[in-house]
Amino acid sequence: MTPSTDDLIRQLSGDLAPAPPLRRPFLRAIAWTMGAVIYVALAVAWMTSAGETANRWNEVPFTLQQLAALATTFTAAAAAFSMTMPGHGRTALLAAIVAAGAWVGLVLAGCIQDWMAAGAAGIALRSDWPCVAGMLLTGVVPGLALAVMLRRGAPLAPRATIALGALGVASLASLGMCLAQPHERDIVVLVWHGATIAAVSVLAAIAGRSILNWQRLSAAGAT
Amino acid sequence: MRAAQAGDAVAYTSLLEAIAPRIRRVVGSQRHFAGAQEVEDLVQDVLLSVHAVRATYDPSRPFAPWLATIVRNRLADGARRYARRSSEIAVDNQDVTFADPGANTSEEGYGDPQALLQAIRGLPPGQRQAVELLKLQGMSLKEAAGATGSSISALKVATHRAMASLRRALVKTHDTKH
Repeated sequence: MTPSTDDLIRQLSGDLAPAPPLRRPFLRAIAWTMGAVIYVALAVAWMTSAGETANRWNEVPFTLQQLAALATTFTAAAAAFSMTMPGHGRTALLAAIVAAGAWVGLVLAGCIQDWMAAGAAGIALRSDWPCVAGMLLTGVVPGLALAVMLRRGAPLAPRATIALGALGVASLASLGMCLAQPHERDIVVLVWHGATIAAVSVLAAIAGRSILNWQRLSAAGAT
Repeated sequence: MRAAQAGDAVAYTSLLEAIAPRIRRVVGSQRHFAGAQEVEDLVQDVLLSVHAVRATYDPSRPFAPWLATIVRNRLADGARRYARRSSEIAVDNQDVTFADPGANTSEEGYGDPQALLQAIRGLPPGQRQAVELLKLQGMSLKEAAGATGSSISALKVATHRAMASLRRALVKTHDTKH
């Protein structure tokens, strides 16, 4: 062993502070999802008066879509946390892919139903910039909270981790907007919400290495 | 590791001393081409990483897969860094070997060092700094970016512009003399 590695070990051991183990990804995802759901619920309540909030919970397709969005939020967050824990498997990632797939499938099924019921008018697309803005604004606080929590882990796959986190945040924001500004046609959700979620996830992936990286951790650990 | 997470420095020293040779073996077997110093740098990189993320170890799980994941990840990062360094060198060379046949004359044995020096002095501060760090001091783009606080792209642009300005200035000087 060269003296410098010996010195490093001595330095690391000498400055050792207790580092209690992080809770399991599943538990951290529950904690974050609960906090984020409460925040988004408050934001939705603030954006709408009581009468305007979507009252479609008796519609099975709508309810299933929102449950799938919530499942995507939770599983994507769990997968992101799991990716920052060395030695953990990819089960959570698989769950996130299944949940997101189910969500997209349900929205697509809604579009087909709209088309069968109203023909071309059922899938006529209108712009929905207020929803995009609402999703972005609603997602800021839960997104920052998730980023802070993820930065406590290991940056093993920064881009995938941050993209998954963004998927979780954006799917919850989409759910919030579906409640705050009910859409008559699912095509709006598919295109506008879908495009926003995809764009946010891609941008997050690009920024992944700036948010999670070993240089920051090593520098913090060495000091 | 459980004891280390609780702040036991003696246990932590024993752990790091025990894993360091194993990490060195893994690094050595994965990096046949690396010199002893490079292997040692990677070992230290892994130890620093282990230290930085020790809270991510779950005491109810085995330690070896946790460590192996970190070693694999840091080795992959090391390989990426190596690849980036290699490509940086290629980009550096391209700055002075562009299509213009006369482009190489200022880099390799330019006949009038005094004129060259004067031309460098005449460059705008950002371009002058880029030339000094990258061409005269021989820094890599990454090192120069760290030293100046500029981005690598900005340095590339500044260098490219500086080389073009120098080329123009030297051709002008040459024409004036002859």
